[in-house]
Amino acid sequence: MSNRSLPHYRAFRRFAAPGQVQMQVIPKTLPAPLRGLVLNENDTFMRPAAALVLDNWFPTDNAIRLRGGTQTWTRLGVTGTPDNRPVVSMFNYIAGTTKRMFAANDTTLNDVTAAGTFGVPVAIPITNGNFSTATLATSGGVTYLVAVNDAGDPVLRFNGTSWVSLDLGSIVSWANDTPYAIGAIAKDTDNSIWRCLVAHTSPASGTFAAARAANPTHWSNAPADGASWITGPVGSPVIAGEGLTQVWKYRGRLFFIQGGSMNAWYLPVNAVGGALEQIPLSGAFTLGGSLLFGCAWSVSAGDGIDDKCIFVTTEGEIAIFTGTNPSDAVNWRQEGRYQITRPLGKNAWTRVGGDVLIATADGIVPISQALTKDIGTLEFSAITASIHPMWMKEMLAKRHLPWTMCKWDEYGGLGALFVTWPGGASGDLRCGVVNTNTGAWCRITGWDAMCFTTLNGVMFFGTQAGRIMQADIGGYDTITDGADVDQRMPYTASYVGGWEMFGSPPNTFIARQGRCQFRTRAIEPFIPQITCATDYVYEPLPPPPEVGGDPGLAEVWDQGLWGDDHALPFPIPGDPADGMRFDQLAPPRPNTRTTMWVSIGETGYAHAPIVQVQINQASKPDVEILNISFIAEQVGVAI
Amino acid sequence: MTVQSVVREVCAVVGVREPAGSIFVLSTQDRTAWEMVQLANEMSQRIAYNTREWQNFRKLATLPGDGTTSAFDLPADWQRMLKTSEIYSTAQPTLPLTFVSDPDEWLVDEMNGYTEPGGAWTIYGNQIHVRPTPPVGTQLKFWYLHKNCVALTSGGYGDTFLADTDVFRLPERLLKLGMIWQWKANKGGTYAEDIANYEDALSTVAGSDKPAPILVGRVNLSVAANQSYPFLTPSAPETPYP
Repeated sequence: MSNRSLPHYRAFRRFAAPGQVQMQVIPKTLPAPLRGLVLNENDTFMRPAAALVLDNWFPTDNAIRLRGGTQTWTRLGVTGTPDNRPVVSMFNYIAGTTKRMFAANDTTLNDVTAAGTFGVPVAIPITNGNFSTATLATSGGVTYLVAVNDAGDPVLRFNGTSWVSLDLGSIVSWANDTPYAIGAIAKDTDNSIWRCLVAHTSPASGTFAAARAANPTHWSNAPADGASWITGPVGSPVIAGEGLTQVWKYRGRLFFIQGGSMNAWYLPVNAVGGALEQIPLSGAFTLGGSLLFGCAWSVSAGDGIDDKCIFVTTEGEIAIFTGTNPSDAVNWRQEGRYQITRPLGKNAWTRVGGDVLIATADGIVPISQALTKDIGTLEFSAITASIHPMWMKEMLAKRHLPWTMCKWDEYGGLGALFVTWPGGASGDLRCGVVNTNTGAWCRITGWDAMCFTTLNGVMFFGTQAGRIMQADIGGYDTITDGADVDQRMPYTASYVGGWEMFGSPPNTFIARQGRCQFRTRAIEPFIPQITCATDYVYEPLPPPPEVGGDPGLAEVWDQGLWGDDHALPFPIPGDPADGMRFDQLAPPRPNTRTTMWVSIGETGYAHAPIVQVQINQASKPDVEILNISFIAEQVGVAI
Repeated sequence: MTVQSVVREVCAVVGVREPAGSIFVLSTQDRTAWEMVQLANEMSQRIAYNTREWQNFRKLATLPGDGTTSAFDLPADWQRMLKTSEIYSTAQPTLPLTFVSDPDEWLVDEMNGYTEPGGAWTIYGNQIHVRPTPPVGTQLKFWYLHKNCVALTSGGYGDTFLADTDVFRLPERLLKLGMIWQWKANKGGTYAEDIANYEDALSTVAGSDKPAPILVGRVNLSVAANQSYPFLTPSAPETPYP
């Protein structure tokens, strides 16, 4: 017979379990990874504020910030004939208020100063796009840009208005009864070089000098830009000013490297033309190879700040010279020879303060460190020490292309150094970025940067598809697809923090919940995703979260539209208190300053927080991560 | 009120951001929402099956006798028999069939050809087995607790939530309070206050789910009175957990 008594509710009532058998959890707050990527610490005992992955998050001085997007500035080619060959190098010309930006591929040099569909090709044929440039103002007051490329094409010179090619390679001697067109070059018997200014036919008899005297307006002994030709000694490889692959300025002189050799050349003081004088350097180096680049380097040797001239070879040898006149043995001497690993390109260096940073196969090395350390220990002094494994991986994959570095002082109001990791297919496009204040590294993905340059405080880069892109603008990337069409693409910022042990490395923990806190502007509809990797495995990363809504262009300078720029009809003006005084609706209430507690539910003996955001919006995102908190349950040791 | 609104109310209390859209997402997309749905399913079933024989979930089953069938499939929505359920036959409506709980006893009786005077039944293999075989025209009837505690938007009922607009068939406040304490317990939070709130609500709702038994003296006169022990019974102990 079954029990038919009524349920006794009091007896069935449940109570909370006693405290000692309830779940015991540990709260833990992790700071944003201010130290950036840290790949050279033991996983189990990582110090706080490190990141294992920091893609498209830039470590600022006190948080990590979501980067901006990219937009096409212009592209190479002309209307009807787009040129989608890779941009090899970019450089700028700044003289007073004249600011110009140029980009080269392997066939053309282009003025890309202005935004537009196409840049303006310079009508001078070139056979290589990897340029080295130097700017020098002559005593005449004109600022010249001198450019040489890896092929040793005739030196190009820009005076702020037009380019000339100092092409003396096809020069022939002047002859009687010969028609000369404007621009034709002829050599006199004294080896002087003359340029035709008026089309004419030379006299049937007499000397060149007599012909010039008879018609003084027919010939000029200077190139079109007014400065001198660059010529080398008779019998030298650079007699016609060709074969020069690198140029820099040191103590008022232009120095050149003769490609594939151990010879450097220099011009007179404050001159952008004239006769080249040789500096033979083969005796200064021991490992062979050829000169790759040179530059000026400021250093204090204990007797005040001094300016040195350094020469770097393809094998990583550095010779340091000092003095003002290489032709004067008293005033020019070698001070040392040092060894670094192989540099990754003739433009893979930059000047930071007085020091020079060189991107080598081992990382980015300051020359000041190369003086005091053996090559074997130099990598520990490299500013890339914390990302050494990543650097080596990129170096092995992409060293067949020349690398470049660019310091962008204005980036994020903080300053950053950008390093190209050039080339690669879609999905493999990356570059490295380091905060120059803190030395913290991150990585930018989706930027097809072959080379960087800045102009007016804005950074640009050239792509493999012949585009010039403006960096860090808007909230989406612009990527050239297989049909040569620029497409708006979202991008994902991914952060994987350092491994966290919750204070007890032997224990297994269950990360129950996580919470990420942000600093954003009022209208930022991003959707963060917090997950957790366990047990030292964080790849592949989880699929990115959805894109948040697009709030449109922000009401900030250079983004908000007003007046005639705004699409009609205008919104109906509302109460100023509602923020409707201008052309856009009032921004919505900020809705994502914290994720609140999000379930994690990952079990393991090491946990790494993962925060991902996918961005696709008109305005540049304004999102910073401050911290991540966890609630973790300690499970046990021997399980 | 829907399960989505219940989840949102729970989120507001337990410190979790309300899901912006559907709560039915993959755990890889939004683990929080996914856990909320799992908890809503667990707690609604726990309330429906484990706390009381809710009148709303009682259902009458009828097994038609055809003279040959002695094993009948359980109803598709069968959760369990009511605690006091008996099986009655239209052939003898005043006495229930005897329930044989022990399989060996059922086997021994069968091998001995013995049949209980009023007939007998047992349950195994998700079937109700009856002896002797019900003749043609008779019907076996019994009460059971069905499992469909969710009213589905797509039509009909089910035992789990499948869409945001599905509705719990008992008071949703009960579900909300249950989810709150269990969520906090799952996350290592302090939940003593929350479980007390839930238990209070459960007692109140359960108390009004069926008319109060009519007591004369201390002997109840419910329908079950005809089988009850004819003397006073001691009260159940009131010792609280544990």
